Amino acid sequence: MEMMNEFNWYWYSAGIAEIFVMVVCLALLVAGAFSHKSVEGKFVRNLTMLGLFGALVMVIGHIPEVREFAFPVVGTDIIPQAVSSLFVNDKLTVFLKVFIIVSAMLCLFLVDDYMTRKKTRKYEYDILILLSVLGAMIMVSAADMLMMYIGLELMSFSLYILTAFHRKEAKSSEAGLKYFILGSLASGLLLFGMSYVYGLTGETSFDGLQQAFASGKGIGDAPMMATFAMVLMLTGMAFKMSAAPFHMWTPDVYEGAPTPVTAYMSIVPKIAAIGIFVRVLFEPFMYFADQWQQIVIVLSILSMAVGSFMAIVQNNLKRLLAYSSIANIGFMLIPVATASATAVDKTLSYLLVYGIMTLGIFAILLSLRLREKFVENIDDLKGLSKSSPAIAAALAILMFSLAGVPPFAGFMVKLEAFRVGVELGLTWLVTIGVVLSVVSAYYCLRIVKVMYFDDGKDVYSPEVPSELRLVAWAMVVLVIGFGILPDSIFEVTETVQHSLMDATAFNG
Amino acid sequence: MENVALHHYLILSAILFVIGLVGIFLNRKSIIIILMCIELILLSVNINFVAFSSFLNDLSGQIFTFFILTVAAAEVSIGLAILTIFYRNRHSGDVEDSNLMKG
Repeated sequence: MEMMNEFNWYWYSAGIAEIFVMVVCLALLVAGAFSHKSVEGKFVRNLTMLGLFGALVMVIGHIPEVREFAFPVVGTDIIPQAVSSLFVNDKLTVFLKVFIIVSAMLCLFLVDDYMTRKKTRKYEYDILILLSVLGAMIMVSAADMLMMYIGLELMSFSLYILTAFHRKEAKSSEAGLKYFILGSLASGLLLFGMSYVYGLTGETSFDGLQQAFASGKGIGDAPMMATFAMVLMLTGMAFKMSAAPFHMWTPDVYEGAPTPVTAYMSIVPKIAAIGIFVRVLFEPFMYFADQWQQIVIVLSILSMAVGSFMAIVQNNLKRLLAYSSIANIGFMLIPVATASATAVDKTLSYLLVYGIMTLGIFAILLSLRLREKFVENIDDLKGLSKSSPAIAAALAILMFSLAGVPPFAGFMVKLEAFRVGVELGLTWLVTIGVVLSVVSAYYCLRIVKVMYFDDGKDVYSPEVPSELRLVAWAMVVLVIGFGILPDSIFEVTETVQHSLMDATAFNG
Repeated sequence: MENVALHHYLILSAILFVIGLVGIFLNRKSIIIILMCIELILLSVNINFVAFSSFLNDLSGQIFTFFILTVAAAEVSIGLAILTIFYRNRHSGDVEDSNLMKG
């Protein structure tokens, strides 16, 4: 490529947000180690927030319109958009990165109260969150298998440690161990697939792979080999986004991890995994669309079925949310299964609303304490509507939205995902989806029933930290607001998917 | 010296990969063995990359290998650290003792 010849250090400024986050991480490690025990938590927390905010500003600086506005004199080329063919910034990456950073900031709000009560408040927590955000950002910006792998591992490693963060609790360490083993196995599969893809084409960049496959290179002498390699890579990514049948780790890890980590884990890695999944499918592997379409359909059906049915029998709320996340991944995969880049915006809008709902639910879970113990089981919610009606109402709204009841945002995005599926000829898959979404409505409504119609004598601990209340209500408002004005999401995601469509169109 | 062709390397790495994979699932005893199996999988990937890189006369595969080596070192250190805290809590490093959560 011509870019290669005129390589310039200056190009690294395309990754300015990532470099900034990395420098903040390193600085905070030192700052945390040298600061006084009594202030280290708050001190590092504030700096982490500041670092994330700085990264947010830098990411937004990559939007063309903002660049035109901010750099009228020097021209819009002041920040390059890509580092050779390793790393790209387009509308899709900006959308996903803003989503990642904002969710990480909100997740950091949820931590303080929980960790302080459990006496495990440590400054390392914030740094690990920051590192996994860095990994997620690299992952969604990756335009090369190497970058993708590095980002993925950076994100996963931080998450393994975060899962086992409560190291004196047997459950937490067991969850960390299980997550580590299955996560490493997934990366192993992904890498093995990558090695064959490299061997067949001699390329590692997504651009190069797309061109190589389009020109028939690497397929001619061993057509099965390329498919096999692609399947291995898809398996690895399906593990990371916990799509069935590669979901085994999810319930255990969700249950065992400290609840703020579970909240974080159910949003940020999902965003990154879906982002890279979509990019890999529609850029390098677009040539194999016929083959991966079948795989994505199977993943989608299995995820919806396993998630919905298994969630019914759960008593632990975190396990239930784990199965619910599996089911929702299944719904998100319906637009991807159409193998048409024009449908992907429906996946992204679903992802956005799913993130909002999950964050709200976890904020509520973290603010409920029964006899000074954090609520874990569904039965603990009995009679919540009597003792704290406001929280019960907020949880009920979020659950209705998760179940897909109009007029909430969860209904709108699910409807759009189904509509685009029917439009692009997957009516039978959508039929299965509709039936299974009825099943998944059962476990959501069961929680509402327990809160409103079952009697409980227990009294919840009254003081709820204001930041938790703020996050929960903000998410409820967003769920209602986007339910009334769904076009505000769809317009954004539609603009975003154009960068993917352009890349696919270039494939011819 | 006999000629060593590309497929010899590929067969070797495939064998290592399968040993690693089967080892993770069949092993019912020690978690340490699982960690070794994960290393085996990464090793087989490295062999693949280096073999392809050498036969394609393209350096990027070997660069990839360096990254994998580094990441594998970090991976095993995190794995052992988590295994250590698991051992402290359960006083055991057996697969069948990681059974607090089911369902």
